[in-house]
Amino acid sequence: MTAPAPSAGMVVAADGVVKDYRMPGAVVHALRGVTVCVERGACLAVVGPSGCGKSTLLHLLGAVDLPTTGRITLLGQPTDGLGDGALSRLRLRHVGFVFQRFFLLPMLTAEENVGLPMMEAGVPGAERRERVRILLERVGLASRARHHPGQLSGGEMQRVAIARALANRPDLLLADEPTGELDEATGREIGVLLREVSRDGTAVVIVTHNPDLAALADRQIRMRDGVIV
Amino acid sequence: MGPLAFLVLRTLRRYPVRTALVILGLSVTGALLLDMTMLSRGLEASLGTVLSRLGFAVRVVPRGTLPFSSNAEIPAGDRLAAAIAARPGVAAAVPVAATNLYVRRGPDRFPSFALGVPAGGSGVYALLDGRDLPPPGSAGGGVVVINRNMARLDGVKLGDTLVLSAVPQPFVVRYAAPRTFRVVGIADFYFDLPTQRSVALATPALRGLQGRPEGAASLILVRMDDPAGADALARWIAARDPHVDALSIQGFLGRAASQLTYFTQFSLVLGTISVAVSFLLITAIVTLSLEERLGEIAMLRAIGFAQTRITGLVLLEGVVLSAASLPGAFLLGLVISQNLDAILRSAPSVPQNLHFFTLTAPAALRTIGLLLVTGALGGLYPAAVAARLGVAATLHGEVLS
Amino acid sequence: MRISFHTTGLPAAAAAAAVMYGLLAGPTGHAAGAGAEGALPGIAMSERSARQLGLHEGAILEIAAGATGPWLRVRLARVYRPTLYPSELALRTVDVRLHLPDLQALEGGADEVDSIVVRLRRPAQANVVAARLNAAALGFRAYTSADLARRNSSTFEVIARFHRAISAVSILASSVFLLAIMTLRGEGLRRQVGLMRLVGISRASVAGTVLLIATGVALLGSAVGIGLGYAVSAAINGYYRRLFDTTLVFSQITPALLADVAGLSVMLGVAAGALTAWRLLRQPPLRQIGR
Repeated sequence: MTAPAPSAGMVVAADGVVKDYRMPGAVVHALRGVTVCVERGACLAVVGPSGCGKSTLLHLLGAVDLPTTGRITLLGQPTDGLGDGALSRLRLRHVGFVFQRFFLLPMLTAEENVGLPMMEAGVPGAERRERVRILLERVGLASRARHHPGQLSGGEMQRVAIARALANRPDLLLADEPTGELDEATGREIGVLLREVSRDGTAVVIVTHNPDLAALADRQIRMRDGVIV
Repeated sequence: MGPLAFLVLRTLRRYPVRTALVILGLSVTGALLLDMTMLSRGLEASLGTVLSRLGFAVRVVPRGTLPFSSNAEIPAGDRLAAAIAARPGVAAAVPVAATNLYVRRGPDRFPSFALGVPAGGSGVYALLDGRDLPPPGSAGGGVVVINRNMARLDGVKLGDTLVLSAVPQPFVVRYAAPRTFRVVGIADFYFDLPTQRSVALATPALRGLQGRPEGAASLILVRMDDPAGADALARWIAARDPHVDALSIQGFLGRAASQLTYFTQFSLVLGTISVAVSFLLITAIVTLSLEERLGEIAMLRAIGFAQTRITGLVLLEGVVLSAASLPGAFLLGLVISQNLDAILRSAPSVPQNLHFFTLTAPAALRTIGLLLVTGALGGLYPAAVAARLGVAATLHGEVLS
Repeated sequence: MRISFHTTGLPAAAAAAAVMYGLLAGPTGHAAGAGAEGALPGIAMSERSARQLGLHEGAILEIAAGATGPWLRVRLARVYRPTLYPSELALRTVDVRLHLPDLQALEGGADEVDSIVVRLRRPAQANVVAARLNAAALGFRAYTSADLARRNSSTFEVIARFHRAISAVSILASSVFLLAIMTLRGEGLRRQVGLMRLVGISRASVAGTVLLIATGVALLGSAVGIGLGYAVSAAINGYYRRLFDTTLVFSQITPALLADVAGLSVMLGVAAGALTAWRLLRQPPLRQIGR
């Protein structure tokens, strides 16, 4: 599959991306030439068995890691050649992450967790507090703003994580097994929430084992052994 | 408050017992560091304070007898003092004779340090009670001023009669008969040892007891209108008479410092060890704490915190720990220093007005600076670990674990 | 060269002159000063002073009791190495010994000394002799060597107390350090301990393990510390011996000290471990594994 020509609506594109990991005595070929693009407002599900390279692809799309060969273009800018500072700024302002393990900071309240990316981006206090309120309302947790993660259920924690990922109004939201630690019903709620996010204009890429969650997406790609099948 | 400071404070509050223990440990090592910075120049600073309180800008002693010798004399001390007093900017030049005498009061007999001064009001001692020695040549001679120790330990009171002699047993004397004096004043003699008796009397009376002619002096104390000219005056005096040492307060302290090397070096060794222990404590705690939250660090990197910001976060943790220990370090340090000072001051030949541990602004600032820098340095290794963290690998590893 | 001495040096010189006189007489039996240059009175000077002044044996110099003279020409007959008291190490005085009559002549001829050193046929009688001399009330006081040693040691007793106080503070810092580390490790072990208890391992076994870890850490730390102590002690002795040109021992590690260190570290390790174990075991195992 070759990359389509760049368009104004394209948020991120991977073109012939290869990712190898050097282990003691071996080289692991996590991705063996993957080409994919995601447009604004699209919801893409990446499915496949464990170890097929789904999470690796997600990390490359989010500029958390760089490909061994090939190119990732994020908002029209190739990520190779960018230093850590530039990549971090890209992620801070344009990419949101949702993790399987939530990764909320346990010593911060829900509203503080949500506000953290805005704090780092230098958003003034009053504006930040207002946006946090809106985001928590959006995910249905306005009443739990002052609670710590230890006081929230798994689903509630994932909602907070989604609100945090949306803090700086990202162009791209990447979710890595967002329902992996949740029960079925809660997972469905999270899936619906992510779908709403994409309908609001944010490109969403979901890596999942869950076929019900994958079915909510506009488009699915299946991976095996580091390639799209 | 920026996000880094915010995160650091919340991280430290996350495990209050652990943080409290670390801060306590740093307070103890910080206290030791403060004590060592106080000790390194403490005696010098204390000596400087007492000398400044005395108000004499220049001291003249026989060459090579610093800080003071009651045996050596400046042969024409009175003449030299007069020449110094005639210099511009000099308010007074006081020749002082010093020796050891024996005091008899009733059946009691004890040794005493004796100062011969030209007249009362010379400023060589600070009068606490009673009246001072009379001006030279006035009626009402035959009086002395004693120190508090003599009053306290021997029960000597104002108005009492003392018999002073240059030797202990009158019947051994072949010359210089003992004489009777009346106590008119009680004073602080500044450099008395804890149980030392001291007595001040007119120089002619002292010379009479010693059986020596007048004119010599054990030291000359010079008061100036503007102490800024002290070094220049000292140089003039030394050039005029090469058999004397003339020193301003700073010069005197500089000479004294060379004799206090034990304390300087001891404080350097122990201060270095305190800094090293603080460094190890901070490095160990921050590193162990970091290893528990690698996933959180990876998450912060993923959501957009740059490597430099994460490095700054970890370094700041070390600095904040050090800063938080400062109040405890100062409190504990001051308490411990009082105990240590009392121990050292119990040594023989230590004047009761001098202290080994003196808190000065430079000592405090040096301690604060060293602790904060140690905090930053202690965070260097864990900061390097955090900076080198493989974000994707860590996130993956956290999922697997 | 001219050196004027103030009479602070008199007691040691006067006392030493009596001892040195016999040495300066030499095997010929002549008093020091016999022969050409030997006509001049001989003096002895400490090694450090001679080096400081650039003098060698045989050098001719002039000495006086005061800065204005009168001056006496003397010959440096002997350079000796004194055993310095630690309190004398930092002093930079010129140390000279001369015959008592020469010094008295310099001082104006008076038959005066500051002290008299007495050697007894029966040294065990020192206290008796001193008491008899003091009872004679001849205007002086007699001290035995033991008395003097006790009096002169008071400064070093103070220094020893000072060092002990510093040690106490250091031990406090080490204890808190150990406690902090063990608390951290304990928190890290919480989940493991919970799992261990769930599979049936007793509280006593868990506590014992934690105690062993803490004591082991303390002992290992002490072993490293002792090694470091030897190294630092050697460095201190090397440096200060060179600085003060002396063979005095400045820092010494004794078996008793090692035993104290080891004993203390075991005690601290057990205490820190006990506290950590108590904190770990007071939580239910399910809570420890996060359920």
